[in-house]
Amino acid sequence: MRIVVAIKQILDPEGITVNRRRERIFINREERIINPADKCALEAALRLKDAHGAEVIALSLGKPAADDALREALAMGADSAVLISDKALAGMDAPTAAMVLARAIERLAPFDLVLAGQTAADTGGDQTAGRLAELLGLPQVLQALELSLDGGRLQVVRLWDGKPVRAAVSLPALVAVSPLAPPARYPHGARIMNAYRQMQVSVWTAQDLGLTPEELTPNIESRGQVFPPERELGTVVEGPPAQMAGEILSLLRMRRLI
Amino acid sequence: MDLDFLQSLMGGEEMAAAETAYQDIWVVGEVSGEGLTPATRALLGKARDMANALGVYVKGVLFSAPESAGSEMISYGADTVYLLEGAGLESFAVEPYAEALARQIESGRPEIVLFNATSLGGELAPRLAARFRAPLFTHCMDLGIDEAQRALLATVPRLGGEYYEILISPSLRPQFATVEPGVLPAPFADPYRFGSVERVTFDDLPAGRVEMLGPYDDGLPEPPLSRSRVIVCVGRGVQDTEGVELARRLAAKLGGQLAGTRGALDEGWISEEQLVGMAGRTVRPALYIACGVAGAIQHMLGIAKTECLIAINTDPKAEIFPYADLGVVADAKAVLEELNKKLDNTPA
Repeated sequence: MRIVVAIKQILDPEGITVNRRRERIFINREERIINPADKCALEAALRLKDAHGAEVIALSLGKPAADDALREALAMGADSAVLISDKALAGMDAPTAAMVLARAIERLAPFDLVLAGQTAADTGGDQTAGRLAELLGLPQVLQALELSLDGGRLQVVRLWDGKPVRAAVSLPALVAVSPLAPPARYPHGARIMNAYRQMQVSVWTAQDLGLTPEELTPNIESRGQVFPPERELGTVVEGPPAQMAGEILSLLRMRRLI
Repeated sequence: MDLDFLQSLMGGEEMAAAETAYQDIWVVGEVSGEGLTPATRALLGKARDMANALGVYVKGVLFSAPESAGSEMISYGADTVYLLEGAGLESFAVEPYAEALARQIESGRPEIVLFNATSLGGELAPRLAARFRAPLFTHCMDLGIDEAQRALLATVPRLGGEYYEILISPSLRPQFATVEPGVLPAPFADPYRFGSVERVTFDDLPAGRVEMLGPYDDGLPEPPLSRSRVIVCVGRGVQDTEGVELARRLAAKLGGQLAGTRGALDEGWISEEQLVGMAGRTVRPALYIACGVAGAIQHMLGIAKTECLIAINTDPKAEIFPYADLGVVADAKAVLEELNKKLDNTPA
């Protein structure tokens, strides 16, 4: 079984603070990580590999620094890694990125399963998986929590509008793994060294994928950022418990938390 | 009303010369037990406002829905509603649904297609957008129109909602967007609005290749606390295990998880995995209810990125109050009991 896992390297959101009053975004700690949901996708692939044997190929579209993300994937247990990196690919929008990834995945055919994280923790984007499924002509199962293989049929526990449900699909298929899925294993120290010293990351360029400049022209523009209002802190109320419970529920309703 | 007449009213030549190939705003709706979902109604209201600004029609789309749902879409602002039906559309399967919607879009050529950011919208929208090589803006918190460019302005959340970005696609059409349920205002229905409801039947849709097998009852492992959206935290101030149990029940009712302070851990009320703070987990929930928690710095460091902090403590000088969106001076156990009671009485 061949499993392709698409991963993205992002700036760790934990190292980023937003100052609402000054309407600015501060990068306190510039740390690059594998997008958490993509890491869950890698873990899902590796569990299938552990149980049934599989070749796991990690694929990333990004800057040269994404090499580190792919080394981490190799250290976790991926068998090979491909980095798509090219100056021509800088500043892509979501539709273009999906198209480039699809080209690369086609180049890795034949494959039985494509896995990707459902959501990107930095941009909040969650359309790539569905786009890939359409471009590759694959059935899709999104928001997956647990995957298991039963014959040639993939059994998936996934979320549907917040509730867990069961689904099944025959391979080949594309599955988007929820960030709420089991977190990934830690790579063994020796494996990390091995990933850098002895394993290879293939690098593909736009030309390797036969991409033309017209195809790579971004079409979506940003009109700027908007910051939510500053939190008003320090309101204190006092009274009998029933009344206080009412106050709390009012606030929750107003904030659309319930 | 004839579109040419509308266009001439709005200062026609420029508009006619502009994008006449794609026109109108479509809303893909969803139906629950009592008709349209509230999110669908809100989406229609917004679509109506935007369509008025552009001088175009609003068209609703429903899958395997009753005529009454179509009429309801009219009352909330749609001019025409397409009821898509046929073999394969009886219950949700993304491939036949996407094919049916794609054919409808090919013939109708809308400039904007809106979905709710539900699982249905999240499944359909990306596939349609890929098929049409079109832009898609997901989880929009607001929508607007740039009248100069005749384009959708989509406000999308970044960094989990810590700030928002406004996006626009000046030229590609159609423009697809999914809108976060509950962010748009509830509109008014006008039962006297005119419109037409059309049944569109498909008889040669591809079969869906994913089998939906029903609810998963076996219980999933709890996601790690750091990914929880709602957390109810207990400190020593909840007094005893009864208080902890009330907090646990409240967390379950709110769809969240129980956590605790170092004090709660020492009392044996929580496990290490549930400890929040410098020595424990860092969390970034949308809601954090701190019950009987004093607010020591070691704990506060773990919850710096909370969106809404509610603190309940008998001590009006508790350190936590200046950091809370709402501070409640009361006995935490008693308030927890009342919260559970009130939530039990409210229909879901």
